[in-house]
Amino acid sequence: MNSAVDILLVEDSQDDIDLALHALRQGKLANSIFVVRDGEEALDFLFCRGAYSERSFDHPPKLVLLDLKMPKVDGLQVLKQVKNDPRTRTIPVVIMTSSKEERDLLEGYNAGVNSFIQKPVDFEQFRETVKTLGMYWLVVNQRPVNHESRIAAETGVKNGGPE
Amino acid sequence: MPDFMPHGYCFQWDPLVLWLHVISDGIIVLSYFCIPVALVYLARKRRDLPFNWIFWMFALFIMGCGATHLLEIWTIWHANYLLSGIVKAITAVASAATAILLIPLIPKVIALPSGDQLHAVTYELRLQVIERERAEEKVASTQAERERVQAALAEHQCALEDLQLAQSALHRSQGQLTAIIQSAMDAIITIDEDQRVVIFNAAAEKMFGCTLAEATGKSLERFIPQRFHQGHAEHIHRFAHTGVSNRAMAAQGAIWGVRSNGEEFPLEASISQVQSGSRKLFTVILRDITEQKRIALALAEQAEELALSRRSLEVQTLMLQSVLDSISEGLVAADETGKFILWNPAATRIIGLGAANVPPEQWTDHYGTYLPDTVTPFPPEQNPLLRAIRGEACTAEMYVRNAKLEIGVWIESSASPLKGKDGVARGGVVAFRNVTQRRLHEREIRKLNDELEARVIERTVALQAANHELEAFTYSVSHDLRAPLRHISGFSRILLEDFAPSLPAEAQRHLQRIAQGAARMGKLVDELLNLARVGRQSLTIEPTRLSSIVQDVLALLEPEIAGRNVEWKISDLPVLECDSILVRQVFQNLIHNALKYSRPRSPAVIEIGQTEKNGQPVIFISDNGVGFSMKYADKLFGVFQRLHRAEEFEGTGVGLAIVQRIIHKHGGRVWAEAEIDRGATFYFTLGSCEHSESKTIAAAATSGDRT
Repeated sequence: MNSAVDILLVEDSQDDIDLALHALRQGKLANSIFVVRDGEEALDFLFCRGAYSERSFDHPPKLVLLDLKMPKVDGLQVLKQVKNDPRTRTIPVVIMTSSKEERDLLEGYNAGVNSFIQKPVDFEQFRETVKTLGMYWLVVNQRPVNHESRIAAETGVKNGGPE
Repeated sequence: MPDFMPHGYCFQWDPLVLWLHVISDGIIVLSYFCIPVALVYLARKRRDLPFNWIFWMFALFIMGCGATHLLEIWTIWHANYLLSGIVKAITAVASAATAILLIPLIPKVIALPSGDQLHAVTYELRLQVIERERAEEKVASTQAERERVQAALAEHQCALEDLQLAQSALHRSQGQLTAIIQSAMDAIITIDEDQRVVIFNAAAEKMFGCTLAEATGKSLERFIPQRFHQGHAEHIHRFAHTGVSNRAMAAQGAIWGVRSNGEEFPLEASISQVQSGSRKLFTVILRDITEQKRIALALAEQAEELALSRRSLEVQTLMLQSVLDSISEGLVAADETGKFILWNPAATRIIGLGAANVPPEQWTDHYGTYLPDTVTPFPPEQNPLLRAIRGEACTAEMYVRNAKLEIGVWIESSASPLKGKDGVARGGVVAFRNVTQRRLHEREIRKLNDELEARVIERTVALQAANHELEAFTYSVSHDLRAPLRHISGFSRILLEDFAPSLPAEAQRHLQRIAQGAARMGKLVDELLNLARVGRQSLTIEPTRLSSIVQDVLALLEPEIAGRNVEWKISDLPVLECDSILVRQVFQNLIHNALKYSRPRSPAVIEIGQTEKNGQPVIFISDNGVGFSMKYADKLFGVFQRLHRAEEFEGTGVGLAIVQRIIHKHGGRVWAEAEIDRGATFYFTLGSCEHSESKTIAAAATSGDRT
């Protein structure tokens, strides 16, 4: 459980996980995918705590694919915590959900989501979508690699990170 | 003076001698004193006696003798001889003078006639006296006559002067009279016994249209209508014999005159007569009463009219009375002092009491009037009738409860001042009705309303709860229903792709159908969610240029248009007040439909424009596509209702339902006209949301487009 993770997939449904992985695999993007099954686990992973305490803020995922409806801590709560913390703020978060409720959209964008995607019912479309966004965020998009998170860590925000 | 002895001493106081002397002397004295008196009386009575003075002489000397004898008596006791001597001397002188005077008289007395002669003379004298008396009488009567003549003369003189005065006065008054006659307003005509005109004044000239010169000396008859000639002559004749100086002629009946132009006119006349020397003159004074008659006639007409209007007034009054008696509203009027002048039966019925002679400030107590709260006595000064009397129109609601009206009533009254023609208030009138029943109804209605309100709130709460539930439901449908569909679609696709070689062809076809079914269901779910969202969403109304919306939609539909032969006929559309996002959806669905159902046509003709219905702009979108039968028109806008098979034209049957829901949310109307194979036209209005202002904007926008 160390080193670089390209995509953190936060999804409670095994079916959706399988489909997503299938699509990503077909898009040659499945090299470094880490899957967590609920919001709490996602937060542990991202904030390097609990089961993931040995992880370092120095190696955040390049993309978080976040489902909204999940047990325990839902997607929007995860998003808010990530975007409220300077150590995690720069991590791109894309919400992938079944619904496209205006309410959720608004809340997501207000919390600082980087993209909001409704999962198409049609698998062809789904595959295309996943491929496109993976290409975009992992290849096309430029991000300040580890820089800001490091600065944030150095300025004393210590959240259970290992020495 | 020597001191003589009284003469008694000579008698030696012998009483006999003494008293003899005294008495004798006394008697002498008395006699001598009486004789002169008689003589003087005689001389005075008979002044005609000749030598009358001799009697005076005798009287004197006899008186002297008497005095000497008196002194004889005196000197017996008193020796006053000097006095005695003086008296004797006087007597002596008198006697001597008498004697002397008597001597020459004697011859004369002898010459005096004797008694007979005297008688004869006396007789003669008597005759002469009678004669003379007669003469004197004559002279006296002559004198009287003369005096009378003189007096008469003087009188005549006076009379002459008076006459002269009278004459000048007469001249003056004659002038005045003439002036009066000439200037009189009435016609004055004087005629003689033969009815010939003597005087004819200016008014007469004017009245009869005939000059004085023409009238003078002519018969009066020319001024009298022919039919009255006989009667008039007789009348004058009779009048002459009555001796009455004047009389009115009107009493004799209508008098008519005739003017020189033949016009007859009514007259009022009086006649007088006067004897002037041997002549008898009649003067008539005439007044033209044409005007008076006319006035009298007009007055009579007026009186008749008055009587007529009075009768109708009576009828009206009667009518009014019965109206007042029969109306259900109470009607009460009072004069300016607050005394009731009208109180109809309904008034008594409503408030239980009749008109009472109580001052306004006691009305509240007497009639038991209260404010609508039913307990506060109605402020007397605010009584509507009193306010009306003060000149103020008002309405008021009050509660009335009194001995006759134990169960109180609410009355509603409206009062207004009674005004005279001059606009000054002369009292007030108030009309009122029993509104108890209405109040009860109102109370009932209010109660029901309150209940309704409560129920509405209750329902609203329930509805809101239901809405929330629905929202939650749609949310979970959207999320939970779509996930399994996605899984079905996804895994069947994976099977097809990854395991195709090991699958029989039929299994592959079935998998294909599973994927298609899942995809289709996904679309349905999405459309349903759309519909639900439209229903939930509140409108954001703003002026919207429909033309720009159409342009946007066409751009959006470009993929569908591409490769098609479509002839667009798009006219200017107005600017309307609406929710632009939802209306965009309407245009999108309708244009999409038009494109879809005209797919078999080349060219497809699609027209977008506006028309007008009931002054409202109506937007229409027509195509020349396959159309539909109007007998299914009512199904057109139902959810999942389709008039074509899916194999012919794809679709979910939700698009038009969404259109209808959006239009209805705008208060508008949507409908379609179509014919199989002849195309379809969809019309819609945006109802109450558009108004004249937006029309103006539309016009401005349209004209702006053209320039």
